[in-house]
Amino acid sequence: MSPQHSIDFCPLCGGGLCGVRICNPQLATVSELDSDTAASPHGLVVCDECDAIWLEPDLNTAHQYPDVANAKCPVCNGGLWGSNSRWANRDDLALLQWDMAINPELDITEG
Amino acid sequence: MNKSKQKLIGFGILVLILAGYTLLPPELQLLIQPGPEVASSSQNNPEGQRLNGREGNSQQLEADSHQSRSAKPTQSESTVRNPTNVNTDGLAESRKSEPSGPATLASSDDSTQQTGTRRATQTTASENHSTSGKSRGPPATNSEGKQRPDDNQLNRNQTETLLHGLLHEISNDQYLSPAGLIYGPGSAEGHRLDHLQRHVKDQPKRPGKHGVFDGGMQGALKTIDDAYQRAQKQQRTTKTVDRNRTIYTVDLGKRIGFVGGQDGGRRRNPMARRVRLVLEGKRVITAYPM
Repeated sequence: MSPQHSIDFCPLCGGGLCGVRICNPQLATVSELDSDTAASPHGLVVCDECDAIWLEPDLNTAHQYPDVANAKCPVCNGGLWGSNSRWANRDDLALLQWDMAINPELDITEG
Repeated sequence: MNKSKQKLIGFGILVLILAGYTLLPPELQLLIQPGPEVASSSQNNPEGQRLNGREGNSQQLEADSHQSRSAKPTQSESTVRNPTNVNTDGLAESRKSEPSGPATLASSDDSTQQTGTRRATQTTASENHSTSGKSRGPPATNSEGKQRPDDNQLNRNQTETLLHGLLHEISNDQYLSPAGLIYGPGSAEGHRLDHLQRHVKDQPKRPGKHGVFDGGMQGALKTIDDAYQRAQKQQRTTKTVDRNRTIYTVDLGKRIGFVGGQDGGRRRNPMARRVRLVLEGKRVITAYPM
């Protein structure tokens, strides 16, 4: 349950990895969807310890906290840890165009 | 010699009388109320009653007993009451208090379900005593009659709901620690306890540091409670507040785990003495050694 690719260590809790998550990755092949809609694939940076969320792959931007018991994606309002969301893989990073934002030293190759 | 012998005999008689009186059931003690007076008067004139004629001494005895009856009823009653408070009255009182014992426990259970002070009940449950008195001094005698079934039921309930020997389930899938921390659903693992379980085992391949608690889940939960209590007292604690989140870093001053992960492994897993605790109110978000 650790992120495959991360931006950095969490500046808030200090111990988590701020990994990249992607919501609705299955919709990446649907060409009719506008890339700005909430239903289209979109990325989040989430700390795997304290659940802090950034909407940009930059930890200097504003962060937010989800609901303690029922964390939801602030973009699509889907379950943050639900079936429509996962830790982003390389392809997902390319889709999001966030592949240059990660720190490769923090990659975890094994799930 | 005779006088010494007489004194010894008299003293022995007095001791026997007093011992017999104290060993008597309270009902008999009530009946023998003049007894102590007789004993006391006999103490005053132990041999005179026997050896020096009876009329004068009987008059003296009557006078003494009269005085004792009039002057010492409260004393006798008090002396009777004190032992009866321990014995029969004590039993009655204990029976009266028995419901309050478990009721207190129950109410404390209920209240602690709400407020979070769980130590006594947790201690009782963790000790798996059949009676509540064993974990508490005064109610030790309250282990009879009504106490035991209620107490057993209470302990049964406590043991049934205790998770990891510490956490009491307060609602569906929410658990309360002795220090008042709440573990509920959440995190990528689905439940904060499952998330916490990550920190009872090393992840050597995880980048950076990965704190691991000593003592498994129970050790982790106890350590977290300890850290939280110290944080509440601001003992060797740093505190950061970010919106509705509070982050404590507590130095416990002793080993509570070790640092794992890739960084920890490179440094031969140094011991960890601090706990980082991330809370939202009393809800645990995460906690780990560092």
